[in-house]
Order: sequence, then structure tokens, then C-alpha cells
Amino acid sequence: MADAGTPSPPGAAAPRAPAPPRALRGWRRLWQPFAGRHLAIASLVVLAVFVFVGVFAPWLAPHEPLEKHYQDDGRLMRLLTPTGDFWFGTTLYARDVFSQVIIGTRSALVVGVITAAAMTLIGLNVGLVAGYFGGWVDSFLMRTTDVVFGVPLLPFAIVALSLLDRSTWWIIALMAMLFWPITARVVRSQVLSLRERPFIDAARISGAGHLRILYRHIAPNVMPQAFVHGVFGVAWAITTEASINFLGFGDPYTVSWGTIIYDVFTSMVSFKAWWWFVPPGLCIIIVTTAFYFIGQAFEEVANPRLRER
Amino acid sequence: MDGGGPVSAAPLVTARNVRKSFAARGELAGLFARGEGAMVHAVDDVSFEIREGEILGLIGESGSGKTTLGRLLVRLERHDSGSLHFQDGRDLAALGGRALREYYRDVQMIFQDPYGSINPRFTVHDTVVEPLATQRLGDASGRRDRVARALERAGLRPPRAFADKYPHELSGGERQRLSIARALVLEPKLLIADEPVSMLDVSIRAGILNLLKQQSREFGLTILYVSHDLSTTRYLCDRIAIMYRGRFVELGEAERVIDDAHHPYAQALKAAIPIPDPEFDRPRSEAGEDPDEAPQESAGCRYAGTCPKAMEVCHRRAPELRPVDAGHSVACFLHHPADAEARTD
Repeated sequence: MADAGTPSPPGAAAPRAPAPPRALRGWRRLWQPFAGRHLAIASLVVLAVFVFVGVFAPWLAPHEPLEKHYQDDGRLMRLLTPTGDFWFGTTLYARDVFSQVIIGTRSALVVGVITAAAMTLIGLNVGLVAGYFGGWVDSFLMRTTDVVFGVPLLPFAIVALSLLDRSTWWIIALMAMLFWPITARVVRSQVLSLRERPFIDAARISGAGHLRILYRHIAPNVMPQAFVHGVFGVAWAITTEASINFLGFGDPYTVSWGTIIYDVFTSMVSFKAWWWFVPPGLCIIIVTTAFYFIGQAFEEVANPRLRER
Repeated sequence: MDGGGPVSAAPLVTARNVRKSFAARGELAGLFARGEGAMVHAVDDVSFEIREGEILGLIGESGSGKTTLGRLLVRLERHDSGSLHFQDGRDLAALGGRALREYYRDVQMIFQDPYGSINPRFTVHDTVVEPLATQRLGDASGRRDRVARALERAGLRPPRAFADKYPHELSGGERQRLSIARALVLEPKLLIADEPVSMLDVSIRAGILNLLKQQSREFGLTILYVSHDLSTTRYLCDRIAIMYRGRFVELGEAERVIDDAHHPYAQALKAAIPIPDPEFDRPRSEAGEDPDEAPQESAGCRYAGTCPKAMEVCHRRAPELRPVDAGHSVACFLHHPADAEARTD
């Protein structure tokens, strides 16, 4: 009650029914998933660092990521091991790995967040409409969902990208187009039970139309689940984008973790230049793992049955 | 049909031969059945009136159709046949869109479950202001005033202390008052109260019942009080209708129906009211086991299979609800022997 911010009225001190899971407000509510979960807190700290790096990437990178560095005698500084000037060494093309990783952080986060947002937007609406209206609307939307669910991601993306522009925006669009069924299914199943709750009848009797019931009464109650899958979606998007770039189907002019590893692979020095591919590889692993742990923490709050203790 | 009493008040709701059926789905049968399954007649040829200003009790066991009847009146269900009219001639079957939304300014409902009937993510203010917002009534400050008045009226005082609370911060009784405040904020003429106290602690039931009674006495609110509990009904209601398997078996002024129950089912219900006296030795009820599997399709009285006084005619014909004296009607051949004979053969 302390967070309510309102004084208890006199006479309201009577014994109360056992409190259901408390809906907290504002920051407290956002913090709730992390309370006592060390992995999630550590992930949050790690993520904060990456977000900081991503936001300030152009100022943090010591060099232009695609700039070639020359020695005094005019030769390219190819494959330097890490030094004070080039913290992560240089590439075969004499570029600074550290700067590339930093600039890649920004693109990874942007791709991840935008994809997850688009996926949530589509999945949430499809799930809401399918679950709420039922009938042929539900059948149509859910069969579509099943079809999309069955499309293998990488082969589809590769074929599509070879027909389209090789731009990061297309990669984002393709991933959002294939990721939303997960959110849609989760949301629909929630809506199926929510729409039978008496408070929906009550809203109807107050004169609320379908739109109002869907977006004011039902949607806020499914948002936690949709959000959880959005957080996982960030991780999937980052991995997938890296895979597409690694396979060489991304935009050759952007610097991302995937393209860095692609460069290592195509220059066939993987066994020699560990400093070139380990940093971007580790970044992918660390960031996606952090998003998974955070998503898991939110999921345990959104779905108490998963709680182990 | 005449329930008795002064006929001065115009009926607020007029129901004529209302029927509502649902497809019966047994667990296994439902899996394999194709096409038309068995139908359950939740409301089966019911005619009655709700008079302006009265509290009408609708009593029946679970499955008797009393909740369905309440839901028909707020159009959460649509009746299959018959007619339902509101005071000013509005036909419930024809309402839709804007007309339906405006109908809800006159007719509101409170639900049995004080936990499920309030959106857990809405504050008290959000919950009560919702009907004003959907009906597009008033501006922000006008709405705040009306919400405060409704909360006050429902006994959530002082309103300001409750406005920002979430449902989980309220007790069951407070939630039911919140539900009532939401229903009252539009100042409706008719309130359907669907078992409003059955999920509440016994100690706070009286408070809610008194609140409803007060709304009726002070504001002239008409209430349809749906319940399975004859004892609370007697306390609250002006008239009582007893429903059994989708049909009205007895209807009349509250005291008469309870003190002078005519229908064997009504008598059995009355005999089931607990008497708070350990010394009292009640005679055993004559009513047999309730035959759950008895076919509802039979042409006879729904109660014939259980009734200790069932006659041969009871299995063939369904008795109609007819007056036994002023302000008291019963659907039973025992009390209308002429009916039984007149239409036999």
C-alpha cells in the first residue's frame, strides 16, 4: 500500500482479501523483474554499457571504421595485433577493428530494437483481433500465422535479399515479417481467456465498442507477454542480422558485427587473426545473452507459473 | 401474469414468451457430434414485467436460467424468440450501435464476481469514469464530479481516498461497491444485480444488500435481483419470481411467495432455508433427488420428475403461470385443476 501514495481512508483498515500479485507503478514496476535476480541485473548493467556505446558510437570510435591506416613508409598496417593505438588490432585491409566493433554496436541495437518493435506491433494486433473476434477472422489470421511460422528464415531472407536492395532496412522488414507469429500466438491465447472475463462484459454494458474493448481493456492486459517476446525478439534479430551479413547478403557498405566476421571469413585469415573476429563474436554472444536473461526475468513476472522458487 | 400489488406503476420492462437456448455440449458428445446437438432451454417461454421502482427477486438454482434472463435484459445475450420491450417501447431485439449504447444509460448490471468484473489495470476512477467516457458525457471536471458522487452513493467514502486505488488494494466488499458505483454513475433506471453478494463474506453481505435497498428507496432505482438464496431475497425484494429449469413456477409479492408458497418446488426451496435453531426438528422434505438427466424436451411440467405430488397430467402438459389470488401466480395443476382437465384429451 505504501506505493499507492494515497492515505488510507478511516475504516478501510479492515482485513483485506489476500492480495493478488501486486501491480506496481512506474519505476518500481519496471524494477520488479530484476529484484533478487543477479543474472538479470548483471545483464542490465552489461546492456547499459552497450547502449551507451551504441548511442555515442561516433564519438567513442578512435578512427573512421573504414579508414585504411598506413605506416610511415607508406605500407598498409595489415593485421596488426592489438596495440595501444589499435586496441583490437587491425584488419587485413588495415582498418581499426575496435572502431568497427563500436560502430557495429549501434547498428546491432538499432536493428534489434526496430525489428522487435515492428514484430510486437504486428503480432499484438493480429493476436488481439484473432482472439477477440474469433470465427473466420481467427481462422484466417491463425492459418496465415501458421504459414509464416513455417517459412525458414535464412533461406527466405537470402532469396528475398538477392531480389531486393541489399539494405539494412530490408533485413529489418524481412525479420519483422517472419518474427510476428510468435507474438501473435501468445497474445491470441491470452485474449481467448481475457475476453471471457466479466470485466469485458462490464465494459460492453458501459457502452464500449470493439475498438475500445480491444485496445483499452484487453491490450494492456496482454502487453507484458507481448513485451517479453519483444525482448527475446531483439536477441533473435541481432543474431539473425549478423547471420545474414555473415553470409554476405547484407549491405556491403554498413559496418556491423556480422559484416566484420564476413570480412574475416572471406579473407581466409580466421586461424591467424583471432583479434579480428573474437571481439564482434563476443559482442553478439554477450548482447543476445543479456537480452535473453532480461526477457526471462520479465517472463517470470508476466507468467508466475514459470517461477521456480 | 398479474403479480398483484398496485397497478399504478407502468412496467419498466415487459417480457412476453421469451426463449433462449444454447447448444448443449457434453464433453465427449461435443467432440464427435456434428450439426445440431441437443439444446438447453435456458429461458423457456417466460413472460413477466418489471415495474418501475420495485425490487424484483429472481430466484432459482444454478442452471435455472436466472442469470441468462438477466443477461438478456442487458443484451449480453440475444433472445431467440418472444419479445422484450423497455418502458418507452424500445424493442431489445432491434437495438444496435448507437441505440444500444444509449440503452445502457438506462439499464446497468452488477456481476457476481467482484474480482473478475473489474479490469485489474484500471484505477477506481478509471473504472467508474469508463461509462461516462464511452457515452461521451460531460467534460473532465464534470466527469470527476459525477464519479465522486457515484462513489459516495455506493458507500466508498471519501471518494478521493479511493480514486487512485487499484482493485487489488480493495476488499471484496469494496470491489462490489466499486462495481455498483460504475453501474450507478450513468444514473440508470434499471439495475440487474446478478448474485451480487454470493461471493462475498457473510459479514459484509448485509451492507451491500442495504445499499441496494437504499438505492431503490431513495432514488427510485428499479432492481432485478438475481439470486439462489431465498433468505436474502425476502429481506430485499418487493416481488419474487421463482424459476425452475428455464420457466417461472411462481411469481408474486415477496411475503406471499415465501410465507404461502404454492408450487411444490417453491415449497421445497423454502424448506431448504436453514433455520438458526439447533433444537428445531424440521420435517424431512418430500422432494426427491433432482433428476439431472431428465429430458428437458418432455411436454410436461419441468418439475414433474421430482415432484412428490406429480399427477399424470403433469407429465403430458406444462402448466401455465396463473393467478391463485391477488398478487400471486403459480404454474401448477394442483392449484389450477380446471386447467388440467380443460385441456386433457
